[in-house]
Amino acid sequence: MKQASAMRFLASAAIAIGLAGHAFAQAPVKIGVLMPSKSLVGKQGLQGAQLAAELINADGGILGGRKIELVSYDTNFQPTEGVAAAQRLLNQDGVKVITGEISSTVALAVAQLAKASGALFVAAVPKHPDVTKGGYDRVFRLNSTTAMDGSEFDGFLKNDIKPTKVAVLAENSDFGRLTIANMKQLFGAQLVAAETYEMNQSDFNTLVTKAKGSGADLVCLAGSNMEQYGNILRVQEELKFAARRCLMPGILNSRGVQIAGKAAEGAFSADIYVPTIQNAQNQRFVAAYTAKFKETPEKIELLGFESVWITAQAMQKAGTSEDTVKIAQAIRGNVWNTPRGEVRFDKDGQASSGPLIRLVVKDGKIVPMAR
Amino acid sequence: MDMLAQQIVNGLSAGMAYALVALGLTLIFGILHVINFAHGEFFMLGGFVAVLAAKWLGLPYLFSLPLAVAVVGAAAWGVDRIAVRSLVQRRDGLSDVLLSTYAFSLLLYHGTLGIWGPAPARVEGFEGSFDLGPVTLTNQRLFILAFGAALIAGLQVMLTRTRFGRQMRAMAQSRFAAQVVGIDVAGIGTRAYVLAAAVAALAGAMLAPVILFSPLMGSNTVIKAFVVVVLGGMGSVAGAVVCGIGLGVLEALMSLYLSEGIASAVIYSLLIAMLLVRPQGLFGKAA
Amino acid sequence: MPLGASKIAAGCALAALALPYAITSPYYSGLLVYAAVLAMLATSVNMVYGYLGFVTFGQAAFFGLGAYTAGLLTVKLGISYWVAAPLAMLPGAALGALVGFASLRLGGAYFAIASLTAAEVLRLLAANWVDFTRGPLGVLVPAAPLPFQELLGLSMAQAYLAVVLLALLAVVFALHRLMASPYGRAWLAIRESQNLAESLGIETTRFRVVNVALAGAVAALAGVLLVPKIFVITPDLFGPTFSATGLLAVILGGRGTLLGPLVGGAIFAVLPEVLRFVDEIRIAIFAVLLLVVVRTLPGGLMSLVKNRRTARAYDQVDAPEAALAPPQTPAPDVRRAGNPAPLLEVSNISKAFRGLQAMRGLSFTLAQGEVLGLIGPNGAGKTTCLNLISGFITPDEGSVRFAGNDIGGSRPSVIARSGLVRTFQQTTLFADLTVRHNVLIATHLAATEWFASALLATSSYAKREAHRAALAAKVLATAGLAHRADDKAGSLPYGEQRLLAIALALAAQPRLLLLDEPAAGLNHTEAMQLVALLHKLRDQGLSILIIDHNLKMMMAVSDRIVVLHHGEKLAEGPPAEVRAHPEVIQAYLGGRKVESGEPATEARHAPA
Repeated sequence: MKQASAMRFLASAAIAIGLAGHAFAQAPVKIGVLMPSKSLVGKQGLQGAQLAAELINADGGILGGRKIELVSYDTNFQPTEGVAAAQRLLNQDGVKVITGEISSTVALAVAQLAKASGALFVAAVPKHPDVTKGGYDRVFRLNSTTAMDGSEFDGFLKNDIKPTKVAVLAENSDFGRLTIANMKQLFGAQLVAAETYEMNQSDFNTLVTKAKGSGADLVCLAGSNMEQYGNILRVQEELKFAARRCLMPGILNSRGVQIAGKAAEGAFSADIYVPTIQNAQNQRFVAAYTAKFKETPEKIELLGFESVWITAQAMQKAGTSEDTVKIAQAIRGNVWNTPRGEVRFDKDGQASSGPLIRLVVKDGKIVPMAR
Repeated sequence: MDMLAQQIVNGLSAGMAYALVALGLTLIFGILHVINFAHGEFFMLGGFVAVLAAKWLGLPYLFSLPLAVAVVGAAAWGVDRIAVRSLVQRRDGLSDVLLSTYAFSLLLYHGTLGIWGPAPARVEGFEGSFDLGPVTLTNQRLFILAFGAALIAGLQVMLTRTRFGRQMRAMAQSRFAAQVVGIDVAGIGTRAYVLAAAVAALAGAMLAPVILFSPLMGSNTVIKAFVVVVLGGMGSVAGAVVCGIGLGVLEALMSLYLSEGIASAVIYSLLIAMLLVRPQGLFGKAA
Repeated sequence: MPLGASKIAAGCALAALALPYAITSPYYSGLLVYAAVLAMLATSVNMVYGYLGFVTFGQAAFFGLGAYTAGLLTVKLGISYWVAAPLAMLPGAALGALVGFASLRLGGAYFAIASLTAAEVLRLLAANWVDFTRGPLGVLVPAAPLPFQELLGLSMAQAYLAVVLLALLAVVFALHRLMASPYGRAWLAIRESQNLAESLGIETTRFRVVNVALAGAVAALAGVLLVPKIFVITPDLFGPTFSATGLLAVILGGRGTLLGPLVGGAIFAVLPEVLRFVDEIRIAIFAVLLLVVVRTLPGGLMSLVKNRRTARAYDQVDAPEAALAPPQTPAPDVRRAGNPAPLLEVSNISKAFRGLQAMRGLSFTLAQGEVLGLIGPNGAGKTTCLNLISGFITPDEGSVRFAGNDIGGSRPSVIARSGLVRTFQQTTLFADLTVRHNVLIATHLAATEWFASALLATSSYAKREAHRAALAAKVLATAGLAHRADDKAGSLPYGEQRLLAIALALAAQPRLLLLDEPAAGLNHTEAMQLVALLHKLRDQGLSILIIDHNLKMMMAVSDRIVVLHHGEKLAEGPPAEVRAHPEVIQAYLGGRKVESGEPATEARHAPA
């Protein structure tokens, strides 16, 4: 009896080893993920990506049951790190597709490297227009650009909010500067204050005092760091600066609201995604994310998710995980169902998913604005 | 003008923060003649203790202050024993301690990052604000001003009236002579290091409700602290206080016309210009 | 030795060209490039910190400047990146020269902070001057192929690696040449003792400026060479991270060594990448490594490898066998009987220090070929007088003429060059360098050295170096210290240290030697040996002004004596006369004098 089961054991072992010899059919699909994972936004993006891989694998993987395996490195907002990490992915880890990233600067550098190596790069969060203007057909970007945001939000500000005097407080980055330039064009003489603050600044009393002194009745914040804009909102409240509070599209999230406390009440913004969107994909996404990470996912997590999700689906559609040209064509040529709705890509690789969702903070929560 | 008054008041409280952080740095330089690169992280750890005291222990804000002193003081003692005490005496002590305290600042930063993660955190201090004529001041900032002033006064008393203070001042003048008259220079050095860290930790705990705790808190403040120390004169307590507060007010006033980035650049350039004219700083002793 | 260095360099050049062929993975070649760039940055820091002795925390200022210049030139003018690259070293050199001048006023920690601040200013400028530098997003520099890569059958990454390696090699080799030359010796002298360097005729200003300018150019080159790897030039290139990396790499690898920065730079580049498999804690591991090294190996990692040789680096001359015949040194003035013109004329000099009148209307002369002794109780102003004559202090009034020229207010190095060299009251030597190295440094004035000839090691340069080596050997023999040549100067017994100090002054080939208490701490026998040496020197034509408290020795060695008291001349004349002078006796021994009514303050200071 023992001998028989031992023989069976050996037989199954032999089969298993034999199967392993045909492992190529079951080898995981490696996808590279670059994120500044030591920062909060990087961590959020990475978690979104990890969830995507998990859900895909739970659904049975792609390309005949192959599982997705993420290889991720920390880039810390530095082009030097980003390029080194990307190079490691491409040369050492045998990855053909790189996804993720938060910083436009790093994305630009990685895009150059991708162009030189024939790799595919799906950027998640970078907002600067130049990321997709490099003349390379295998770069994609999921987030909306400041230009796209502007075209919708500008009209909303001018015609619906109708401020008399506007103040813009922007971080000293490309995002902030583009916003200021845009506001100048939009409001002309109505723009009574346009101030920048440094990315490592933590005391905003002086900044807000200056804005208050300008007599603006609408204050627009353009800052990607939730701790900074959350703090600015609080200081506005402390200094009793009663203007309407606006946050530029794409930056409002619940942590910022938490930091701002009651100062965020009534603040409005717009974005491509809220967790309350009603569709099957989103419900699954939110439920799974909340279960795994004990937090509600927001835009950054979504984009991290999408960068892996869409890539994997495109690989499936193209029937390959190695031929970047085919995968790129698949991405461009299809409409994708994601938690935010339908996503399509233009010829430059820019994603779009319909109009921005207008948001307002009510009772400490971010909710879509009643139209 | 109303805004001018408000900006000056803003500048005062920011300046008090600079002064408190610079104080510890200048103390260490004056007594041990080395640059302590871990100082910014002690500041950050003070804020961190305030966060943990509220979130994990549920203590009221005021309790976090002595707790910050105790925890960070203990950490500083450890850093001193490993990275400072035995290196100070070396011929290249300045650069050796630079390197070792830099290594520690990396460890402390990444350690905090590992425990807490990168998320910034709000600490509830003294809520509320009040108006003094055209000027609005939050209670927390008032607390910073008042407690900061008391702290500085206390330090000054300690330096001039207590035995410990005299021993520290003796060491600052000549380590060798202090040894000769029987002062335990290594022990006093350690206590001075811990004291400096404690002051920085208190500053961190006081400031966390205002600037938000984040593990990056230390590295953001440390350059400004260096500017204050050099401007005031390395080793000069009065210099650190006057120049710290002065820098805060100057920044606030300059912000009326310039962006923060340009204002900083101008101030740094002024610093360099001043160093060329008066290398020992405003209050320092000429070499 | 010289042939050895050139052969090694040639071998390395071949390796640098061959290696890229072997490395086909862009990841590894990229990593090597980064290691070479950091090694170059560390080398530039080492020039300022290791060799010159100034802790610099702002080397990234030059680094970023090089990168931005090259990038902006390429993007705005449309020229090839590799054409813009060498040009980008110029702003680095210019800024370096400025900083070199600034270092005159600042030392130690102040210089470190000032350099950190300067780099911050540049970073803020780059981040805010958006029209010019594109602000925080930075400048995108497209990949630029190298003209020769097709010819050599290399991919762009490989050709790029070859260029970087060759550039690093060139920098290191040039630095080696410079360190073996009077330039390197001058830098070390400034690092060890600025005052001593000045007194030996080394113009510290000029050498400082040259050093930091060169370091700036090298750091700029490092920045230029990094750009093709990272594609985007951002203000963070000016940031404290790069400055700190440069400094820490030097300290880790071994400051003041040629290879230390290379090792340190390579570790800083490679280790964090290698540790990526423990991505979360790689920085922590790195920090622990730094801590361990700094605690256990103060000299850095290089001290593990070459313990004894580093102390002796560059203390020999890089030239064919030093000529055995004594060199043709310009002969000091032979004593010409009846030559009326005094060599040194001090007229009516006065100096006050914040209310204390240290010197008042002092006048005396010193004739060619005589030994003049200067004595007086403590506080009489003897060392002040010496400082006033040798240029370390400027007189408030009066004049000092040497060989007919007014030298009042001149820099000590200029005065030394005209033939007036002094020693110091406290033994001032380059303590950590060997005796041979000390004397070699002191031969600085033997011949002027041009930068280009030092770099290229021309044959005339080699001749001059041989001349210096022979002079050094001769001086050592005269002082009786030849057997100590390989010992560290600081390890010599006290008496020999004093002798060495005199030897250094002699190597500067003075016409007039000022000795400040050369016999302090010597016993009677040693003091008399000193007298014999000084007389021998006088007979060879050297004029000597000597200060000391050892009255027996002073009486024996001096031709004439001047007595100072409270900053004024009390008496002057041959030793026997001065010794019997009543006021002199009273000044030394005290005793009440009815007229002056001064209490006996200096009673106990007259030595045997």
